[in-house]
Parts: sequence; structure tokens; C-alpha cells
Amino acid sequence: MINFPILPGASGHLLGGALAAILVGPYVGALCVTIVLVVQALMFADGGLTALGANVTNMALIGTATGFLVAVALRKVAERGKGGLAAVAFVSAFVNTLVAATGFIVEYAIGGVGGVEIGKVALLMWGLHALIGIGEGMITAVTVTSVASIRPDLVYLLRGSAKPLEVRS
Amino acid sequence: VKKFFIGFGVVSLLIAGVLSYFASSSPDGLDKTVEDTGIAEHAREHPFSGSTFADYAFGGDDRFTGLAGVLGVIVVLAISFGLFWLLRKKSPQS
Repeated sequence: MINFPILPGASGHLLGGALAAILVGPYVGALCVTIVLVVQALMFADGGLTALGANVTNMALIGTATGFLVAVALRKVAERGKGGLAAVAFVSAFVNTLVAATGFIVEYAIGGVGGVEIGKVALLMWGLHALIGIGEGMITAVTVTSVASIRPDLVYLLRGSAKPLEVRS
Repeated sequence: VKKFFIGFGVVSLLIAGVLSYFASSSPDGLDKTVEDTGIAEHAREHPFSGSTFADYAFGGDDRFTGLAGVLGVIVVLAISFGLFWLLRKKSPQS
């Protein structure tokens, strides 16, 4: 819903895969992103109905899986503290954005209409989404570190490493 | 524990209800790509483009973007609660 400007005449919005995966894990995360996409398409006419399958595939499945795999690969860094966690969140969100964009490029190559040269599509998609990925990375890093500083036990990626909860009566 | 969720809700509502007015209306990365390459010429109008909350407005009126955002948060929360409640692990007893 909330687009941030990346260039004059172009904007980007959160995809949310890495964010969801880091906070609640890959399976629940993919469901969360899917629910958002369905509500956006049905209630707000944002994202086509016939494109819903592609959107779920790219943003909810590919995006969340990618964000999760990158975050898990860098888990040791994330456990080092707030700065490490922010860096891991940023990187996994950036990669998630580029790989989700790649999902569209592959789908266009397989069955897209218009016959546009695939290199041209890829160049535009990757160029724009590299910029969008920076915004995605910043939003993800801020959100994840905010949750981690108040309730580290709620960050899926840090499970098992977070300090045990203090029991209060 | 409750404080966290109340805070979480307040931040979500503020983002959807207030920050949404400052959102960029330029095409996003995918829109820009399909517009610049001409792929967009093959797109059809969204079947719900005339619906009440289409494009995060209210009956086409942009002044209600915040309202659309707040309702969106509530709808997503309601669906999520419902779905995850159905999918929850049931304890073996009772």
C-alpha cells in the first residue's frame, strides 16, 4: 500500500518476505504475505486477480524462502547483537527483493505476452529492484530490530539464542 | 506481554492511517518495467477497479486513504486470526 519513491517517476513497496520469515518463520511467513496479497487484490484492486498466482509465487513463496535461507545462512552474525541483526535483516530483504523480481523475469520468459526481449525486461526489473531492495532492507532492519529490542523471544531467527524470559508473577 | 501487542497495533494503524497519505503514487518497479517496455498495453482493467475501496480510496475519493488503510489492517488481522486459529495445533487432550 505504501510506496516509497526510488527515482523520479518510479517507486517501490515492501514485499515483506524476509521480514515475515525472520519474525515468524518461513511457513507462517509465507501465509502472512499471501493473506496480504489476497486482501490487496480483492479489497483494494491492487494486484490483478489473474496475476494473484504469480504474485503469491514470487513474493510469498520465492521471496519468503529466499529471505529465510539468507537469514539462516547469516544467523551467527544476527546473534551477535543489534547491529548484526540489522545487517542480516537488510541483506536478506535486499536479496529477497532481487530474487522475487527474477521470478517475474523467468515467468515472463516462459509465458509473457508482448514479445519484449527478455534482456530488456531483466535489466529494467533488476535495476529498479536493486533500488527497491535498499528500501525493503531498511524497513526490514528497522522493524526486526524494533521487535528484537522489546521482545527478542518473538523473533523466529533468534529462537534458542535469545535470553530466556524472566518469569514475573 | 499485552503492551507489546497494543503498541504493535497502534504503530500499524498509524502507518496505515497517517503515513499512507505520504506514499508515492509513481508506478512501482514492476509497473514501471511493463510500462516502459510496452507490456502494459496487454493489461486489462482490474475487475474490481470500480469497487468501494479500489486503489486505497473510498468511492474514488483519495481523501479517505487513511480510512482504507485502517480498514485494511483490521481485515488482514481478522483473516489472520481466523486462519491461524483454525490451523493451530490442537492439544491431544481436551
